[in-house]
Formats: sequence, structure tokens, C-alpha cells
Amino acid sequence: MSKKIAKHWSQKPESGAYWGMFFMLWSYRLLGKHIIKIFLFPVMCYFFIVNSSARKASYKYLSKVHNVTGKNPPTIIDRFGHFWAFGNSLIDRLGAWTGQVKRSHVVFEKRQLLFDMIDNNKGAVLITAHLGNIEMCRALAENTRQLKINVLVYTHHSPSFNRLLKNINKNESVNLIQLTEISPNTIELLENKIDAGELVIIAADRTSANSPDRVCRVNFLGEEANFPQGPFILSSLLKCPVALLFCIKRNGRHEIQLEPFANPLELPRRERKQCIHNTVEKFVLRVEHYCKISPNQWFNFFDFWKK
Amino acid sequence: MLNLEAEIKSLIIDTLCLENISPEDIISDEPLFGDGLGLDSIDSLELGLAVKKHFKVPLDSSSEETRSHFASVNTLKLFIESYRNTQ
Repeated sequence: MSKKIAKHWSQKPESGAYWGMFFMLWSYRLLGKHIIKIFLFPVMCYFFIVNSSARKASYKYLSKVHNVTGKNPPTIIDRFGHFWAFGNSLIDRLGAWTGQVKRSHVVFEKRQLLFDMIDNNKGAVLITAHLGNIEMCRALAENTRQLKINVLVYTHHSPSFNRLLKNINKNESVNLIQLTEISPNTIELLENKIDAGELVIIAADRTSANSPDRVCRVNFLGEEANFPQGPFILSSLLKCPVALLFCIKRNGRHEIQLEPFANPLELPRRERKQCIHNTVEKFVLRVEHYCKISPNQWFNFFDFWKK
Repeated sequence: MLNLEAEIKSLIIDTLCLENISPEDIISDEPLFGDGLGLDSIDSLELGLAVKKHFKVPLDSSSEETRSHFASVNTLKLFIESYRNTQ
């Protein structure tokens, strides 16, 4: 048990991440995004060489994607490409936080769908994954009529990181809610937000260290992997429209993909087990779809298929 | 009128579909979460919603305070009673 927990993604130390990000942020502000990319290259080379567990996890993932899409096994260029895409996503994130991502950088074809969904002044839950860069949706909030976004995050992972985020986040339209603070009044809190027409974003690809049994084993890229049940149960309790949201970078542009998922999401008690499983499967199929289109945008650098 | 303690216990069992557990198995002063009854954070979401609806109590205090109200059947009973007394 302790071994299992020790290797859970949330247990990875983030020492130095705070100062690293602090440094990156100021470099970004002072030098701009093009010059910082020159520094990014040696940094990502360093991580690629040093971080063998991330490298192995990435290889396992890429091999599976290549396998299901009928491509040759990943080359060293494909493998570094995955790390490079992640490095670039960090820089894009800095841009999003400092408010430098403008509407023109983000393609959002189904904008109307979002408006229709929240038209009767009731908000929605948007389920996402660590696929692409959800931070780009900040641009959405900034440029859209008084849209408020709440993002549920696991902050025990990186309190210092979020502190930094809070310091630079002058944008009050994005609110971070800690999942570690889940309590019996969480639904009430989120219900109020939904009733006020706000959006609640939650990622459903990483399992929680606190509830290791609340998972579904679902086929993902050819092998079963654990996905959390929590985000789906939470969505069903809120009884509001649920959609999937991914923001994937393709050809240098951020594409926001929004897909209706359920309205509301119903998980009847009697057949709950089967219902949750089907729901998770439906979600994973869409995640898989985007992984096949943009393999490099998958940002889970740990052994995803670990039992 | 049904005894409040028993009402809370059966609500817990019904809401969370606890199979093979009868109201007598839930000890009133034992923790509901973690060691005692062994409920987890997802249970707490559902239980919070059920208690709010069933007993018509508002859950508008801080997360920490709410968590302390939901520590055991006894604390939950005290919470509901004290709310009713203020009404």
C-alpha cells in the first residue's frame, strides 16, 4: 500500500518548481516568448536526459498511440518532441497567466454551443484531461462576457506553485478551488456557482490518492488504465449540463474543443457501477480521439497504465 | 416523531447504499470518515447534499466547520438540533 501511494502521481516532489517557475515567469516578462524559447531547449534536453521515469512513461504512451494509429514505433525525435511540446505548453501557460494570450491566438469554433449551454443562466460542468493546455481557456474568460470559471485543482500537489499563481493572477474571472478541501458543503458551494451561471472545470484523467478504490479500469489506447470516478459523481450531483473541454495546440494555434456530454449526467443508484463505467468509457474514447490527432499534447508523464 | 439519531443513521445508509450495514452497526460517537465507518470524500459530497435536503439545514459555513459537523452521528445530531433551535 505505502509503495503504491509513494508512486502515485500526486506524491512526486515539486521542490524547486516554485523558484523555477518564478524565474521563468520573470524571464518571460523581461525577455518575451521568443527569447525564452532559446533557453527552453537546453532545459528540456536536460530533463529528457535526467528524468528517466518521465522519459519511460512518455515512451510507453507514445508507443501505444503509434500502435493504435498504425505508425512505426516512436523515434528519438518523436520522444523528444513530446517533451518539447510540454516545455512549450509551460511557456504558453505563462502567457495565459500574464494575460498575453489574446482571443486571436485561440480558435474556438463551438463558442455558440457554450453560450447555448449557459443561456438560461445556469452554468455547466466542463470535464477535461491533462491533454493540451486548459490554461488557454483563460483567454476565453477574459474575452467573453462576464464568464466566470472555477477550476477544481489538487493543490496538495503544489501549494507554493498555486501561491505564485494567485499572486500573478489578477484576473478574477478564474477561481481555483482546492479538491483537498472537499467537504460535505462542497456541492452546495458548487451549486451556487452553477446557479450563478458560472463554469466549473474538472480534470478526470488522474486518480485521487485519497480514494484509491474509486476508479474504473477502462481500455485506453489498447490497455486498461485507472480513471477516477469522482469527477463524474460530482458532475451528476450538480444536475447541470456537462460537456467535455480540451484545448489542444495544433500548428501553433490553440483549439478549444467543446463537446456536449450529458444534460444532466445521471448515475442512478441501482445501476451505478455499470453507469459510471459506461460514462468513464465514453469520456476515455474522446480523450483517445484527441491523443490520436495530437499525440504530443498528452501531459501525464507518469506510468499511466500502472495497476 | 422518529428519533433523530436513528433518522440520521438510516439516511446515511440509504444515501450511500451501504450494503450489509444496519443502523445498529453505526456507532454514534465513532468517526464517519476514515477510521470509523470508513466513508471517503466522495461519500461526503453525497451525504452533505442528502443532509441538506432531508433536514433542510443550510451548509453555508466554512469547509472546516462543516467537516466538524459531519464528524460523527452525534456531531451531526447536535448540528441539526442547534439549527432547529434557532428557527
